[in-house]
Formats: sequence, structure tokens, C-alpha cells
Amino acid sequence: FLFPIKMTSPRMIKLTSNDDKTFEVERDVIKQSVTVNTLITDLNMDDEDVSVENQMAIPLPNVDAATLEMVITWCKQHREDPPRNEEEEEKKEKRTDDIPEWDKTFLDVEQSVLFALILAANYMDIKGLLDNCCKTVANMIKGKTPDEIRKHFNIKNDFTPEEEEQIRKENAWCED
Amino acid sequence: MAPSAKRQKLDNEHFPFNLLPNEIKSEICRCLTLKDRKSLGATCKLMYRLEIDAGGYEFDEVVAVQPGRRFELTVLPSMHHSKTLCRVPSEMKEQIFKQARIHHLDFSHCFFPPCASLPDFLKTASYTNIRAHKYWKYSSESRRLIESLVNADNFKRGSITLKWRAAEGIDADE
Repeated sequence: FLFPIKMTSPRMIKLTSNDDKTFEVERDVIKQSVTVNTLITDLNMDDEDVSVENQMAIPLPNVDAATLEMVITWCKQHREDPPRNEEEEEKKEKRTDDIPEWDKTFLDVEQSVLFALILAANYMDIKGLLDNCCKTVANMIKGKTPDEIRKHFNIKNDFTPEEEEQIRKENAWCED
Repeated sequence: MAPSAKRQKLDNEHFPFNLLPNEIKSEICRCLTLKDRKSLGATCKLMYRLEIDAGGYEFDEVVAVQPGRRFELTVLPSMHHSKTLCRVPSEMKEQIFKQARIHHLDFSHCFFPPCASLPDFLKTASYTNIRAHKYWKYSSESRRLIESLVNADNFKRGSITLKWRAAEGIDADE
């Protein structure tokens, strides 16, 4: 017997960036964003009777099109990742040498792009992306002296010489 | 300001670290090793405060010990003892040591040896066991520091023999 197989195309969700560009993305891909996922559920957008053409686009007022496109690319790459156990993640020792190779290449971008990605990952609540972005920034800090870090990040030194000396003393024990 | 304009305005030579929300700065802090965190904390006042906060959250658990309960203090890799031990306000230290006797002091996960101010803090407690990180065997200063903790006054029962082991750190057994 041959039974007709219902071919279902993947459920699509529309997202609009703050510069009014609309993206269609698979529901399964964007579920990694807790913010979008919650909106989809709260707005009852999982209703299969509503076609993508008639569907309301979810506005993302804090994310521009270029960044949103990158976020979607990242989510597509990580769609098969096992769900994160946040409690376990909290307990784990944070490391910066465990960024997957694909992510390393993906995050090897201009500083302003990385900055925009961090803000977007934070706003869209995508823990995996935010984690790897933070680790990438942490790697920029690794092995640098306070002065080198200030230069790299354009941080203004607001310590008095006395305060600086005090901190130097406090930290002396962990110097090489 | 339009996002694209904002994007162009950002200085591409310098990552705009100061413009990140504080919770993300703290998250970055938590990814760093102790030495790197200390360096970041020494850059400006804001980072100094965030660096202290990033390392101190486990300490509440230590304060919550039951009176008289046998208590084991373990210094975890993410729990940087400069905050958890040295920078703890003295009244909190007093509270802890009134409430519990620390029998085991375990630094075996801690890459860096305790800082110079640690012995004063630790002298108020008594232990039956101290463990250190195996790395410390390379540092005679660290070794002296631990030996100074294990003096007769600290141990109320019997004598203690310190065994410096090649690969496992130290054990102080009764």
C-alpha cells in the first residue's frame, strides 16, 4: 500500500530589523533566541493555519539588518546543538580555548561588528552566541598588562597614582 | 542615530569595551584567568569593581554554614581567593570562624598560590588537612607560605607532617 505522505515545509518566521529589512527564518533555527521564542509563543504564532505571507513580522528594534543576518547565519550553523543546561553551564569553569573553529572564523570580524553581535546576542538572548563572543573578547585581554588593555580598548585610567600603587600591591601575589 | 551611522562611528581600532552593558563586562571577566582578570581590574575604577564582583558570588555559601558543622573550604578554579578570602570583610571572616571549624583547606584546584595576606586570615582557623595545587611545588615561596600555615598553633590535635609530593601537591596528615 502506498500512503500519501504529507510534505510539510519548515515553519517560517519573519523578523524585521531596525532598518526595516525583513528576514524569513525557519522556526527551528530561530528557537535559539529566547527573546524571539518567547514572543512566538506569547503571540500564538505557532498556529499552522497562518501562512508566512499573512504572518506578522517580529520587530527587533535593537538589531540592524547586517547584524541580524549574521545572527541568523550563526543560528543556522548551530541549529543541531543540544539544548544548553544553564545550571550546568554556570557550574562549569569558564574557558576561552574551547570556541569551535567555525565560530572562531565567524567571529574574526571588525571590532564594531563584534560589538554589534554581542549586543544583538544579548538582546535576542542567544546564550551560545553571547558566550562565544565574550570568550573572543576575553582572548583579546589574555596576557596583556593593564596598560596594554587600556590601549586596546581605549579605556581611560581614572585611578590616582596612589590607588594604582595600592592595586599593584594587592595584585603582586599573582604576578609571575 | 541610525544604526549604520553608529556602526561607522565606532572606532575599529579599539573594541568599545566601555560601551558594553556591565553584565556583559562581568561575563567577560568570568571567562578570564585570575591573572588576566586582575590586569583588567587594574585598568579603571569601574573594571576594578566589576572584577571584584565577578569573583565573589560563591562566598555567600561559605557564610551560610551551620554552627559547629565540619566544614571543608574548597577553592574552586572560578572562585578566586583574592576576593573570597582576602577581600572578605573582617567581620564576615569572624562570623565564619565562629560558626564553623575548617578542617580541610583545599587549594588543589587553584593555580595561583595564596597571597601574602592569607596567612593572617587562616591563622584563626584549625585544620586537619591542607591540599595545594601541584604547580606550587615549583615555588619555594608558595611552599613556605603553606608551611607557615601548618604550624603547631593551627593544629589542635597531634603533630602534622607535611609531605611534599612530586606530582600531587601536598597532604598534611595527622
